[in-house]
Amino acid sequence: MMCTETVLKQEDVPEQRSLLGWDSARRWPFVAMMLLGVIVAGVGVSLFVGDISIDAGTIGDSLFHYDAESVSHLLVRDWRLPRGVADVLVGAALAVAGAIMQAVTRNPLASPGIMGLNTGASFFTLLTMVLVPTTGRPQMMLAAIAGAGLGAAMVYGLGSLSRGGLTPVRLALTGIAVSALLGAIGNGVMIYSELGQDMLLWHARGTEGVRWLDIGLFLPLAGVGFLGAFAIAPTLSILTLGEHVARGLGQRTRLAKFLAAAIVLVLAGGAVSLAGPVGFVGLMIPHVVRHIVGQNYRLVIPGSALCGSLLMLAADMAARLASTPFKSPVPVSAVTALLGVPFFLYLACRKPTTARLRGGRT
Amino acid sequence: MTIKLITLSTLLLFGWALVRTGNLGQLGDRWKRPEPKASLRQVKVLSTTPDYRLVKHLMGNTKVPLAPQRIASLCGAATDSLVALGVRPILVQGGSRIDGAQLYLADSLKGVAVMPPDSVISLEAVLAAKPDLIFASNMQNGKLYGQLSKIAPTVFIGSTGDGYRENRILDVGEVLGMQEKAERRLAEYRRRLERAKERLSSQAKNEPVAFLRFRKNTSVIYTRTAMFGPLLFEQLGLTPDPAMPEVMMGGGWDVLSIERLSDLRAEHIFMTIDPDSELYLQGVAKTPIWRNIPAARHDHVHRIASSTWLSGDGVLGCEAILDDILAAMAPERSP
Repeated sequence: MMCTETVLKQEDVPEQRSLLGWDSARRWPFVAMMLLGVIVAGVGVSLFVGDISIDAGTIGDSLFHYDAESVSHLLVRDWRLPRGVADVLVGAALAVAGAIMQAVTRNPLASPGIMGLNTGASFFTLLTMVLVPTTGRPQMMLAAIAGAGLGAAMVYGLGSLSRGGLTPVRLALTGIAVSALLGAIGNGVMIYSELGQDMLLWHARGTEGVRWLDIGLFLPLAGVGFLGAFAIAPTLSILTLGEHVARGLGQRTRLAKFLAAAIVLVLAGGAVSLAGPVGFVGLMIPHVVRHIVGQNYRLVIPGSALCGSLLMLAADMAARLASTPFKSPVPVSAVTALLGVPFFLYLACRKPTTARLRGGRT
Repeated sequence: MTIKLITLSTLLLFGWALVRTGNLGQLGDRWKRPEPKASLRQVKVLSTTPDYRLVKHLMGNTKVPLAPQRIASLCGAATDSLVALGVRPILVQGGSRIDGAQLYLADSLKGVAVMPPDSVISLEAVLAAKPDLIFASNMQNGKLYGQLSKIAPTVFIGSTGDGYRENRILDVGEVLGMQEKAERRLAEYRRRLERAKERLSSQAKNEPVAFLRFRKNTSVIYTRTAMFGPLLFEQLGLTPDPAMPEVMMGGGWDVLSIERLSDLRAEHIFMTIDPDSELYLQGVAKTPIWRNIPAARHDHVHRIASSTWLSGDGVLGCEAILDDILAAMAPERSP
């Protein structure tokens, strides 16, 4: 990765059409701090949202004057707070995974949801539930990561078989086909083992059941993933110019791609094991962020992480608000899908000249 | 421009729909469960000849021998009713996935061959038992109807959908030509139900109850429309927990988030725990969330067998539930 620095200084990356008209990168740390502040505030607000109402004073007390015997304190500290933190982590993980995938495959439709990672991960989680019902959370997370790998390998492999390589449309089609296949097998297993209702509960719960223990498990994985993503960010910027160009510029593209794949699997698999399959975060966020900051992945990666967190937090709060009066949980994936489907259609319907990534294949 | 306008209005529409879902709750209240017919029957005897009885059931018409001697019962509802009628089957398949067998029938069925409650039944085992009549349930064995019919006349008794499980004995009684006995047994059950109701209203008046099931790291609450809901909340007149939803579609159960669990105000909790959820319950039971529920505070949490409450389809199952409730809420006072 170090060689990147010598070949291509940050200033050399064409700062393409940054939306706010800022050509200097010096203001981005300030923006990032602001976003971080909004996220922290968002987690704070999320403490107010739940099935029973808890007033602000009690919430404050539960954080600063914790009383282990108080039900409200316990609910806030051990259920609502980890849920908010999990939303932040899952949103960031999915968005970063999506950003990396879009850069490496140079495909605007690439994302954990479209490329079969979510389906693969939940399929393997289901298999683990059936074969080893007493599996603990760590093994479940490993299974989800392995499943994400299988899903991605199938989609990427099958899609690349055809002549002309993996075009955006072909990727989407293969993704849909593989997702449908894994989903169908999963349904079969579910029916055969009479686990249908249990799986439904798992899908609908989202981040509801997340405890501090789960966060403790995912945090190191996510930390390594985020750091790794940041480390390969300069290479990603160059990879978007095309593999030949990147190789010509002295990039070790194979190593970079391998690292990128490993990071994506860890992030997406971990996110699924924490929150179930949540689509569209990894698709939408990188586009929005690139639209604002341009093609420099040293900005796109942290930007995606921050914006993904915000989206996931907001979506989960919306899901919780929508489910309270109906007395039946609305899955957070339904909310992200409500936002994501129109966005996906917009991406797919854009004029062909702008449909590819800027700097992508011509 | 047009596309932007369409996208924007779509988004607004979605947002509006999301907000309006708040009113769907009241929409649900308007949906009332239709009053089930008191005798929602599954079989009907069309004609009786000197050789057989022609019985119409859910899967078609079957010629049933007048006095069957070797009955194989592949469904819980028929097994329960057979035992209640004093008929001993030669082979049963039964029970629930959780408890393995129908525990409340274990004594009566001692010595009877039992097939494990797999979703696939073993045709060889049925064939080897040489039955002259087979009862099967439509849920699991529907596709096997043709094959079972080749072994012996097969009658389908589906599991009870309307919650009035005691009526199954009338169906089985009619197939076997034991209508009078079935009606006598049903009347006996009804008297027992009345006595239980009186005892409950004198000893445990207006104490709210809840039925919980712990499954896969969550808990669910069974409501009025669950399989034993009518028995608890209509026939026995028990008071449901205020946190119990009034109307539920599907299986009649609703997921209780941990926050709603903390909101329970039941004086008595009946609960069953799936094998993989014991750890989850232990984790919750340690916290004040659980300890603050009146039932837990007063030590009125009763673990019951899921094979009785969830699978006890028939008169005997209902009576076993009555026994559980009376033992828990209105124990016999020692003289």
